[in-house]
Amino acid sequence: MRRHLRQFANFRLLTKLDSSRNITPKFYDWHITDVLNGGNLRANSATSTNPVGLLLSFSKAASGSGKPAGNAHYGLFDNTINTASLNNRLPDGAAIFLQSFVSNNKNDRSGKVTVEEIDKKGYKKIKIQKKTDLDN
Amino acid sequence: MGINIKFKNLRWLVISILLSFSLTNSVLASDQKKIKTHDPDSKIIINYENLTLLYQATVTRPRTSSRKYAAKARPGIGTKVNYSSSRPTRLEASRVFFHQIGKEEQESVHMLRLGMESLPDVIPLHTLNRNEQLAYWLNLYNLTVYDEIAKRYPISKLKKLYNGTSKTPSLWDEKIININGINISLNDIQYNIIQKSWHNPLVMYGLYQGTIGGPNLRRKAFTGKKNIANSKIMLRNSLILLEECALRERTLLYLNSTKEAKNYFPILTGI
Repeated sequence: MRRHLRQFANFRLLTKLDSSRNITPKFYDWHITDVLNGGNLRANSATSTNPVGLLLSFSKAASGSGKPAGNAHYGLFDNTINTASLNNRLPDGAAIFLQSFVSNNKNDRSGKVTVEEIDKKGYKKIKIQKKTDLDN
Repeated sequence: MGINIKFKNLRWLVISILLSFSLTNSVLASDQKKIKTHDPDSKIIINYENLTLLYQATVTRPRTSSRKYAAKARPGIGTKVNYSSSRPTRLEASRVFFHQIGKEEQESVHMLRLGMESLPDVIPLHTLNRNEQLAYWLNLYNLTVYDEIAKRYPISKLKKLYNGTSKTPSLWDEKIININGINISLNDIQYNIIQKSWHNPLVMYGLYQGTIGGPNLRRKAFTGKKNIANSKIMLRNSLILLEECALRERTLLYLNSTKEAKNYFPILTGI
């Protein structure tokens, strides 16, 4: 098993492998690979038992004071995905997942592309420059 | 006399049981031979376009994240229930839009699965080459898991479904797949067919388990064009999983069970 792991391991894992005595296989994350994490509704919108919860969730969003559950790195109430997720009453986890999914999608990223004509000599110069930059 | 007659009867009974047992064994062995045999010169190619269309419509691309634990959830007014996962891998893996699969879609998925199951009736598996066979088994396994989870949705964790409870057996042990009139389970495909015929451990990373911690479901169905066991697809899936190894200090490899690990890595038993 160590041999198999070493074939794919990065340096950090290699050092761990070399220093470890026991290797135990363990399944780590049993959560289902869906978007809604089991189709549960938002924590604040349990309307079947607490009809006020639905009103509260919308009022919190309108005032901008709402903070998503389990979110440390993403603002939830910023863009259209978040408002859409609110209207559809998506769970927080799903909203965060969708937001990060869209933001990390390369197809949706905006960027500037410039085109320059370079001859062989110029290409060689750029290569040398890159090398020197890397060395420095 | 009475005792002698009873003893003779018993002897015949034992012989007949042994005979029947050996006959059933030989039938099973012949079935296994049917599955194992292959034609290396076969040029039959199975088209999995329908399956690819299904996956492309319902499965997202796998991605990695910063692997940071989520902050502690602040309880809202009126309830303290929080269903969101705080795992560092909560934003990872390829996801399936199970919540969009209604009854009609579910039926079409099931029909697709039945079509896959009935494929060996039309094209006997021994007429295929090994790559095509492996692609077929992987696709059948993944589609069955997909179909069964879609039936049971909404569920948030699959631990009980995989391990089973005192009342219900594990889904992976239930004989839910019918091939050539023989009922087999998901574990049969994994342990008795794939693992015994393809010894490359990379094959393991092509078996979708429905969980974030398991191999990803691809947006394209497996095909037999390339040698799947050595392909980049498996390597990419395995790399994503093995990257998780670096996440924790104590646990290094995340597999479904120790049984699976022991089968692929016999060295593990000696540790």
